[in-house]
Amino acid sequence: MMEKEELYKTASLARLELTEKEADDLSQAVSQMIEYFSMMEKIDVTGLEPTTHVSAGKNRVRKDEIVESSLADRMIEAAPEHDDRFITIPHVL
Amino acid sequence: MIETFIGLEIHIQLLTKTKIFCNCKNEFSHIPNTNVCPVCMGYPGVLPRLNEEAVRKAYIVCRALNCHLNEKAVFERKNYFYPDLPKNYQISQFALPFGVNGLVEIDGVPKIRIHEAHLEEDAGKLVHEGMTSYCDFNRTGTPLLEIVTEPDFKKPEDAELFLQNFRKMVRYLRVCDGNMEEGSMRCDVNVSVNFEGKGLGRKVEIKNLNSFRHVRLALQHEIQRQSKMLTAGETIVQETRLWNDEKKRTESMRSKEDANDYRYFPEPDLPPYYPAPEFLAAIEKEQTELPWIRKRRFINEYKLADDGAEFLTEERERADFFEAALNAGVSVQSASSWMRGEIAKGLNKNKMSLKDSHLTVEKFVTLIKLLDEGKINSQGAKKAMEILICEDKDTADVIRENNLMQMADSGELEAVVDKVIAGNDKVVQQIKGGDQKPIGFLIGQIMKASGGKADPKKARELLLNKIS
Ligand SMILES: [Zn+2]
Repeated sequence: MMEKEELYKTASLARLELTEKEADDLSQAVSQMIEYFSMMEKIDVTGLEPTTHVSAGKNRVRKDEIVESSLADRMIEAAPEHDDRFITIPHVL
Repeated sequence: MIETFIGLEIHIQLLTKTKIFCNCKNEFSHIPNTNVCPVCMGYPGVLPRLNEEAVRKAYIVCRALNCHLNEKAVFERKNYFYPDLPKNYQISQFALPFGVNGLVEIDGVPKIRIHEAHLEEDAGKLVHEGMTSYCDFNRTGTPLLEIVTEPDFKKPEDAELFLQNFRKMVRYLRVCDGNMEEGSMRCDVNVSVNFEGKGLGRKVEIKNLNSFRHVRLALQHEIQRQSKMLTAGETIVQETRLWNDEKKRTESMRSKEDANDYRYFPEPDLPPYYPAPEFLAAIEKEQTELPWIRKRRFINEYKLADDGAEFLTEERERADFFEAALNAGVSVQSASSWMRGEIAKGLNKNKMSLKDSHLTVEKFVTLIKLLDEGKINSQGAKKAMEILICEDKDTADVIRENNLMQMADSGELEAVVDKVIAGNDKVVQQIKGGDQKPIGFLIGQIMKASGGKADPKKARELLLNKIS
């Protein structure tokens, strides 16, 4: 079983707020997931390079050429709040 | 005895036309959110596309720092929640950055090991006012190279000297303009103290350092603070502190406990980068003699004093100009005194650098030749230099247009000398009576009467001949 405390910590890292009940329900499900992972961890992968990318090959780069986006103004408009061209949010430190 | 360990984390914004992962202009703008698109604004579902020029410039620096270049480099997501990067992660490098294990040897500074150099995206800018934070994402996605040194510095002065040289280096390499006030080069430091032989102490990071001076002052203050605590047996807290320049002290920055849990994982949208042999060969070609090495060579090869060599190698363009002038036959003495004197003065006056002035090596060399041949005198040459710096004209044209040719005809000069002698009888008698002092005055009068075109040496000869 996953420690509740650990679940709360994980949730807070993802900026999720959990009620007591949600935490109870989730810890069950998450524990199961972790068990699956621990099964996978038991597989011997010595000498294998981890696969982090399955497609796209390598060295995909683009030329350093300016293409101005026509979307800047619309993105500002689309923001929940803006002040002139600034996008505004509640004060953060 | 207390030992000090100082390390630097330097960020440089790379000089590219576009941002690192999108085609937006990489340029400062006073108007918020102009150089933005869905990629750099962190919209879901967008695809980052790596700028090859940012990669090239990053490798140029890694190579100059003698880093080992990883065969495979991987971009990773550094996860954190802060609205300066709205997608909630920064694309950076972690386990496999472009360069690791470098070494820098600057005269006057101990050998500094480079832990790593990695490429990442810069974050946006937030302005806080009242109950609101204002977000501007123009800077978001600016290619940023972070260079992390090992804690090899022992003294704040060494860190300062290293940074000054590092700044010159990135400017020599033409990868960053090195402007600390505008933030295109930024530096955080970490410092710990411990009793000698006990190894590293508890590391404190200091941020908010906007100049080399701040770096030195903050380190001096922090070392003193930590040393006092260590001696008194107090526990030094591992934390991040901010430099308060008004109060000239570092202050603790409130930080969340989980702040450092970044949960890095490979960026699935960017394939790994393997620098190809041809690419690395091209990077090799971009290397240039680094400023501190060039300075040392200037001292040895041209027998220049330390301050002269320092001045001449301050900028790559200046050092290139100097050596090109020497190659064209100008003497070390003449080139260096002109560059430190009239040229520096003229550039200063016009608030120009050598690069954006109109002066070229060719124009300078022509001027010096005319001066050496006695076609112009030094007063005329100085005047011509003023014009050559700010106007797009040939040396010959400037001299002709401003009538700066020295009086070549000795008859013309003789007439002027006669006139001055005739008009200053009292002074002439004084000299005849054995007083040498007023000779200078008469030469001045001759220069004035000739409109500055007389050759002072010839004028002197002629004058003395006539009155003795
Ligand atoms: Zn963009």
